[in-house]
Amino acid sequence: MTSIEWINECSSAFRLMLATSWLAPDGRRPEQKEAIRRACSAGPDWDEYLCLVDRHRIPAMSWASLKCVPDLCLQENVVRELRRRSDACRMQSMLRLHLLAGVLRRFNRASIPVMPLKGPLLSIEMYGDPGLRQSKDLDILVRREHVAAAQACLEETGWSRCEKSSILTQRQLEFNMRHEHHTDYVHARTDCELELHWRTVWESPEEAGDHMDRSLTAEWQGCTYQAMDRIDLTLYLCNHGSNHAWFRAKWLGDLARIHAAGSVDWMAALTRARQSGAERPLLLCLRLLEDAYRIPAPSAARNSIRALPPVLIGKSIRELITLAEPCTRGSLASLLDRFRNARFSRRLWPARSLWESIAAVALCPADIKLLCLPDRLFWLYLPLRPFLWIWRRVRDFLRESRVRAGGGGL
Amino acid sequence: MITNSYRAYGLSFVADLVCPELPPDPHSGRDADVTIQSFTKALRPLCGNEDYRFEVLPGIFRLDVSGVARYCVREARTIVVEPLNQSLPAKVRLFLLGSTMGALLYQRGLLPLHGCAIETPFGTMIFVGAQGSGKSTLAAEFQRRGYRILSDDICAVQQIPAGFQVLPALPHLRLCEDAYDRVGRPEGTRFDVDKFIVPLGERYCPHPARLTAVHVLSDHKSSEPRFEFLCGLDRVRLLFENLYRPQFLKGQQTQAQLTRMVGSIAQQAAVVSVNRRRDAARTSDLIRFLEDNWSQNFAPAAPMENM
Repeated sequence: MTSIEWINECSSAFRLMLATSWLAPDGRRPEQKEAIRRACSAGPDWDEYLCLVDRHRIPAMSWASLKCVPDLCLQENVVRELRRRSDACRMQSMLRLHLLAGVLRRFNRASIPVMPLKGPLLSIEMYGDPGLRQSKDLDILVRREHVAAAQACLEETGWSRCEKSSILTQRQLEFNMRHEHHTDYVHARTDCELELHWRTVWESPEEAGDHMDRSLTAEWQGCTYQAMDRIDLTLYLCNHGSNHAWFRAKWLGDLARIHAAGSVDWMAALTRARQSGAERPLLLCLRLLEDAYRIPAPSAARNSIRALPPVLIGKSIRELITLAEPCTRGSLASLLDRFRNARFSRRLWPARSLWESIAAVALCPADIKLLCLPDRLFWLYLPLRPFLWIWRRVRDFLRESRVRAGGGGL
Repeated sequence: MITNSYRAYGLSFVADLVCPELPPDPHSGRDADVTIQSFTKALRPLCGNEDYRFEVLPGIFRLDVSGVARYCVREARTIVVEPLNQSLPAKVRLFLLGSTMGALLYQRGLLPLHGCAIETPFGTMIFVGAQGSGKSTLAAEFQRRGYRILSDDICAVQQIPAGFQVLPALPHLRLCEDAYDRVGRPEGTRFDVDKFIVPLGERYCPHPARLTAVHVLSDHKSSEPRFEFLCGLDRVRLLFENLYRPQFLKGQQTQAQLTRMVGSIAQQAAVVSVNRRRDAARTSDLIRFLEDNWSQNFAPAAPMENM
């Protein structure tokens, strides 16, 4: 599918959502304004637009970018709804920022190097405004050897684990550390969620350590933290978006801003991506930026972009334009999604070893949370894997049915 | 006649003079709440030799600023301005948007506190204190950190069924040179009459927000700041002391209503004494200290509907 085809087939509400999913740097502001004006003049369905704003998590961004076009005539109810969403997003971000400051201070006291990922600090770094990017939670990365100390610090500062780890044996914990990449926390007073990462899904713990080694020590609100090197940040955002098949435009919007501002050396990024076997996520991102925002890819990358497997582009476009949230799809659909995602991941990171791919299917950290076996029977998780998988599916299906029945009764 | 439409303090204004300090009204076609008219030789001078003379009568407020302008606020709906002897328009507007606006708010039953108001995840926090106590510097530091500002100088508080809300005022901060230097001379600033005007841009909160607490700033010598909830009549006393131009309240038709409102605010919102050493370098520490206290003492605010 060419870029002209898929963009033209989308509704004007979707095109407006794309045009307002980022805040262009000054040099590209006229093009963004023109794209917004064009989409608005096509008479978008505003209800659809508001749904898309929610779906793509861009309430403050869309309102800020619409406000940059002063001569737009927006309906009063649309303005009210956008402003309400934007204000709620801003307040949420300020609260997260405050909680993050508390976490950083505590980690500083314990001398644990910590790297905030995405979230309000990225918003400050990219736009100078913590409230523009909506984040579901806080994400922080620590070195694997600091995870236990980091967990203790979090628990001291009002965060509690979403799943209690006390029931896990030593072997299970080790397994978890090797095959999981983060632990979930929730803040008791504010219900804010935090993910404590020791690696990312697409990286080995060693590669996560490399991020730390290359990072710069930055200061914010009197706290120090490790800021990702500019190229690492770009690759991280490309990998993160690609890992989720770019189902939120806000991830593309961030990279559109980075690209349009000329703040990253794409060839250096491509070289590093090749070294780590993550070239395709970067190329996929460049292709989508060209399609969605008309930001041309660097000429040296064009041939590689053309050689991308069509399945990567096709799935990303489908995910981007679909109206439904991935989590709201039924259990059968999500089962099919899993197979498609596995195929997508293999194509996305072809350098990933076969053993890693097999391990991802053969071993599942969710199994040890479902059934706690003593360490001497740990090997049983492997043969039990299909049964435990069916058990989880049946449990999820029953839970879904109960929720649906409850909803029908109301 | 050319009219200009503006919106501030929850009120719509039409004016025959240009007020770039006021935010434009997005719904300028509607009937305005307040009309601002500029005339020559319209108002009689007030008696007295002082440079700044005023008179409060039921439904009428007059202000005479020597060499600048005469102002009159009538029945909470009309402001008449008479500039004197080729006075600077910016100086005429300074007293129009300051003292005269304060009197208008009193007439309309809105309580003007002398301070700044910040929108936070825990609701709106007002900071009051004596002149030079660092309110605007604090507001500038808050906005630098990403908070949105509702007002600097005059905080108009309105009673609503669910409690109290602060109405958005002007979309800029007015900083003295000292404070302007301290906050790193922000871009886009201009000098106006006696202060530096720092536009708030996206950091201006253009809609009312629910009041959570009024903080009374004061100095003390200890290096550690203190955050104390006040109780009893202290709260009422401090609120009265920190009204905007409190001398304008006496004689207003709304005097009894506003006096009751002060009592209600003291009961329903928190009144906090914030003691700290006036040390410019410690403003960011003070903000961190405040944030910690807010998160310990106040619940995150639910967003207000229908703003």
